[in-house]
Amino acid sequence: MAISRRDFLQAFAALGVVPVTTLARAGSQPAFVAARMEGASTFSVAVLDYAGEVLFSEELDGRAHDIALSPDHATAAVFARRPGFFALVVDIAGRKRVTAFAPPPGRHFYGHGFFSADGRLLYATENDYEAVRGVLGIYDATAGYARIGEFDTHGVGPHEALLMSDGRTIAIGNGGVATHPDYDRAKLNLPTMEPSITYLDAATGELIDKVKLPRDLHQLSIRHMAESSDGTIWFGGQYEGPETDRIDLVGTHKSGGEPTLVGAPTAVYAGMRQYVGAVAVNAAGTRVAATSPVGGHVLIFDAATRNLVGERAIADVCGIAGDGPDFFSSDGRGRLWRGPNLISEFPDVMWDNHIRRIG
Amino acid sequence: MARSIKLGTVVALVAVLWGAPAMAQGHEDAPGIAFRPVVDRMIEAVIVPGFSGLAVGVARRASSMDDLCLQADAKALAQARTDFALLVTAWSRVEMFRFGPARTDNRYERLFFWPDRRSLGLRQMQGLIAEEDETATKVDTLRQKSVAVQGLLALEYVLFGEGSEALASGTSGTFRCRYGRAITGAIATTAREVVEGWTSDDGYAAVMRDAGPDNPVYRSHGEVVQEIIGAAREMLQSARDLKLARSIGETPDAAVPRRAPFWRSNLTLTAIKANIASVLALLNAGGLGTILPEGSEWLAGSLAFELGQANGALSTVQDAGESWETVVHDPKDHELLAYSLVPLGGAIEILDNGFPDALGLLTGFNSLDGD
Repeated sequence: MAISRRDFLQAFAALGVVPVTTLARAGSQPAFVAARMEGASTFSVAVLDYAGEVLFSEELDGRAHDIALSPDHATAAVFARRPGFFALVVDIAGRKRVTAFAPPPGRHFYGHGFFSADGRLLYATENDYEAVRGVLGIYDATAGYARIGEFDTHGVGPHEALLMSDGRTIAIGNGGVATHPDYDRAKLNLPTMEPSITYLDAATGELIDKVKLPRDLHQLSIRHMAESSDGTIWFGGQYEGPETDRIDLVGTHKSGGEPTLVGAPTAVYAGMRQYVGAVAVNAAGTRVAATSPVGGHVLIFDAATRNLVGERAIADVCGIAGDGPDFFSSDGRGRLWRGPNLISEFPDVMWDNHIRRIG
Repeated sequence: MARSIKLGTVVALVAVLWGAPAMAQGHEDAPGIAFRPVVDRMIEAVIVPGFSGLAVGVARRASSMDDLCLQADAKALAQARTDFALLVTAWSRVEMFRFGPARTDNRYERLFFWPDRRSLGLRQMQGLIAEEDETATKVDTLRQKSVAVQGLLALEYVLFGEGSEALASGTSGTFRCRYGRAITGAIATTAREVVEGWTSDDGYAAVMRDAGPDNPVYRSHGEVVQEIIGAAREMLQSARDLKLARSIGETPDAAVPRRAPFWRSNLTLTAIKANIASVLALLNAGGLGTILPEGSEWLAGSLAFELGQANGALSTVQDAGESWETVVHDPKDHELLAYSLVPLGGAIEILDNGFPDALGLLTGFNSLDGD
């Protein structure tokens, strides 16, 4: 049964709960950016304020994935979902589209990217699919996003990559799964997949380090990552092995050490259904959240103690971004959440996998 | 934009705010649909008999392969090749069930390493045969090798690939034959493991039957049905887009028949038709069509009709007796093959939206994303 927004609010009032939206309108400052689908096939990237209101949006040619924000938060580049063949650049302050560009022949985007510390360069994870090799495409933001080169990611299937807080080290999650656009999204090498985290010098592309999980975890595809306040990379995996295996899906790696998985009660990870769709840290980098749209579940860890400190059940949740001490999340049912609180719901909207904090 | 909201969401949301366990949110089965009986039926009437049929089929093949290695002549080779067709059909009827036991220990890829875009399997097999690597002639040691050299496509290469005519040359016990015999043994072992993986006390059939809040894989029997419907849809997408469309191309001149599996043995259409038959088996013997609620029963007939249309077009091409590599370049046959993509697309749509909507099975936007 469908009820109106008024009824919805009354239902909350009757329960003594007031949705955050009605408590304070934080003004119409850009706060978050995310891609979405409206209706059955209209795709766009939307900039939201703190209340979850859409300030402006730009239509896209197809489904998108993640967004790279320039260091001054003035520019956002949204990447097509893999196998992706477009990226769109948006001027957040000017509320307008800047340009669109495509990867060169023989490459497709994986859906993630990031800007250099000075904002001049945009890096994008890409598939050199004939060679079955991951690359980071490098685009010049000062020259219309012309592609000026690429770095080898030293792994197959790079997915999320980020610039670490030192401003010069790139961390890359090489998921290990080979795909080819001719075969859509079919996974072509599950028996031999070899995920890794690699670190590159952002200036030269030189390989600084490459770490892998133990052999018996070679089917845990390392896809998403975030850096906590002490420079540790927290990653979330997607397990391609048997469904009944009990696998810790979140792990960490710190320079000079080996990657280790973060333990949690079996039932907790079981709720994630072997799938982490996004990882984020809070503003201070002291808490780490991992989402699972498959399990409809959010896990929150303390970055220092590695203890699980929170769980949330949100169906089809995936997008997550730090929001003060807590997290802002979005789901495939058009809902936006600040911490545990639902702040808006657009029934015709499906929020895509990732959301980024602007403000 | 309308901001209507469903009452159920409010209830679920309140549960979240109150900190109550809300894991079942969005995962409870729609009321009034008895998913459990059809889960049992699909396992008992389709999945387990399908894999058992494969295991039995391999056993039969093993004897013809033994015969060929003992008595290398044209008759024995012909028999081995004929038996291979039975094996391909048996496999193609369970190909869609990639989850559970087939996923463990890379059994799916051990049985069927496809697509093999860079011809890894071919190169590795050619290497084995050129070197006469004896470890490839024993089941145990063969199974320790690459998954690409121990499955159906490896056996196909042995029996139909370059140099296979020598199997009838009168020299018994050649390396190629003994390698083929070991592949048969490896397939038999893998198939048996899959059957056991389904049927053992704590096997995957039990996991599916015991769906519920504490189940590590399925929270409800509706989720099990959703998994199987998804598998059927993926099977048809693979048959349509990867096997047929990519091979036949836009025009007869643009066809690249070797992109399809089993072109060497001219069993491509046999395999695709068995893929289609496996979806029909879920619908009929598996009882998938029987759980559609009132007003949606037409979906079952519609799915059967679309699959029948596709099967009919493929049969017309196949029954003319020409090879797969020939028909894709023939304008009339190409037209029929291209036509088959239309009803297959219709069937995919029915499985993608029609069945889940009618059965109240929520399909997540992000949860199906795979990224």
